[in-house]
Amino acid sequence: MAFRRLTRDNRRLPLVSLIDLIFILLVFFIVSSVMIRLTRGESKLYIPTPKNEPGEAQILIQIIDDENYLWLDHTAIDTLYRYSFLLRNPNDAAAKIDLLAQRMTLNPEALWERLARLKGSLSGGVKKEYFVLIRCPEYVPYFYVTRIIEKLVDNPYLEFGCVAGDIEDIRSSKKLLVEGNVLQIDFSNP
Amino acid sequence: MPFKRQENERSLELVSLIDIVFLLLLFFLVSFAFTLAGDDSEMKIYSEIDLPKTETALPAIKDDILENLMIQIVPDTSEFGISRRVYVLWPSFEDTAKVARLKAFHRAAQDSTFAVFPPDFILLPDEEFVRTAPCTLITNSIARYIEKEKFYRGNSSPIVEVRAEQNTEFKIINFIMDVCSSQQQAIPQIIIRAVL
Amino acid sequence: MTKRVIHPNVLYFFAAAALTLLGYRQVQIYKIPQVQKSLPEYVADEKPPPPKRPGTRSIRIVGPPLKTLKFELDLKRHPLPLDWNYLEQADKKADVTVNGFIDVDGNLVIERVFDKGHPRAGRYIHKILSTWKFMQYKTGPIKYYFNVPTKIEHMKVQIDIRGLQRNLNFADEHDQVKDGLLYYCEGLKKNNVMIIK
Repeated sequence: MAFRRLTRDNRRLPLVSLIDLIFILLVFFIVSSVMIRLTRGESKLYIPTPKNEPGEAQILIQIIDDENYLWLDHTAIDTLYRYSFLLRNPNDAAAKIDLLAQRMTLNPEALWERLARLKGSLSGGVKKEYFVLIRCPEYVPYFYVTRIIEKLVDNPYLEFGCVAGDIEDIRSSKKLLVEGNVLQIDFSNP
Repeated sequence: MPFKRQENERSLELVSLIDIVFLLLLFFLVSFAFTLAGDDSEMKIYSEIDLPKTETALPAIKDDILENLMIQIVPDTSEFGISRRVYVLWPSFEDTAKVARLKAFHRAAQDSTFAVFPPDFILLPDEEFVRTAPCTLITNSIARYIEKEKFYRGNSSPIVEVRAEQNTEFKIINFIMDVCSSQQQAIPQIIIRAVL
Repeated sequence: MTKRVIHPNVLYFFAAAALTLLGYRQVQIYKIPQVQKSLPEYVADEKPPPPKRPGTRSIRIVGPPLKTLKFELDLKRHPLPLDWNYLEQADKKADVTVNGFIDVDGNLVIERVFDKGHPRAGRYIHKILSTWKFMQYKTGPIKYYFNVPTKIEHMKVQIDIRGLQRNLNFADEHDQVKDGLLYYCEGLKKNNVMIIK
């Protein structure tokens, strides 16, 4: 069999075929990416129903409004101790909540970051179980809750629940006390 | 023999050129069709947090078969203002005839298993709110569903699904959760459908 | 161009290796106890546990378990013991008061020694107490009273720790700080010591 000798000309890539190939690839990727977006399905968020009983959690996220979320975890106890000198009446629950709201309210970006950090801290290593309670005012669109839950769903160590209520319920709480490592808040108008 | 460089005349090949032209034509046709298919508001549906706005604007759903009781909440605009309309979609209790969600939705519309909240429902005190037509519909439907699930499927822990327009007030979702938890045979969790 | 052919022996070798591995796998499966091979019926029928549900009446936000810290002499920093027998021999009537201060690093800084009439005992006590270093959970003034001749119970050594406060650099507000060994005396019974809190 005779071999064709490689010359400068037949070694060069044919320009037209190259453009052809590039366009085919371009069209393929554009069409497939659009198709993938179109065929997205719905996810199912399993949300536990609330009980008319006292509850326990490690983190309480109180939705205040679109821009403000009160994040209460055990560090709230430290905050209460540290800034207790600012309180005129140490038994005034509303003043305590105002103090916590001042120190522990997050904007959406900070909230997403905090949730990501929480999720990261619970992957692997020592198994810690966390329950996150989300309180949402009744007049607020429910997707404020689901968008928080969506950030929590795929971690086996995280459980969550949501109940209705606004920050005023907490402010007018009859009981807000700290006992050791526990911060207890009674909701006046659940 | 001395080698002689061959200088070929550079020219576009006709067949390949037609190929490219047709490809470009195809690309523009397809992209134009996609532009027509969806405006900005529809594209928003596919974002991470948004939920469907209307029945027609839904993306394709693979598991479209209705297996649980579904409460679908859609916006309702009347002369009195904007409110919420609640549909109760019933699954089939016979294994042989599973019902698709869309069919169940049309059936709910035909059988009038829907109700509309008054426009000011968000301001109603709890006692009045629970007496509104949609709340009564939800309460009765869930109670009946629990009975049917137990009778037909022997299922002691039925599941209720909620599918709602993204701006639906949490008050309605919370009411559904309360009804589920307050039933004699409590439903420990509900499903909220969200778009991925 | 010659056609390359795989030698049949190589194929036989691979076949034999595959068969050996399959056999080994079968033996291993056979070894597994029956209980582990199939799910017991009760497990197959088991439903996932119901989720933890939130409460609407109140919430208890529970933090990590509290730490209990012990404020005492840090034996790792080699404090010298106060030899009570030596003190008794040196001065039978010794009555010495030491005013000190525990700094943020736990060092016992001696501010003043009241040893009027008992300089030898005073010097010895000063020398020993200078070596005492504490855990860093508390800081503040501390007083030691040494009374050698007294026969009254709990009066030979009195330690006044009323001025001590939590050292926030090392002990958080909600950590529990307990008092441990606040003196290191050899030859002295416990019932001769009183801690004034």
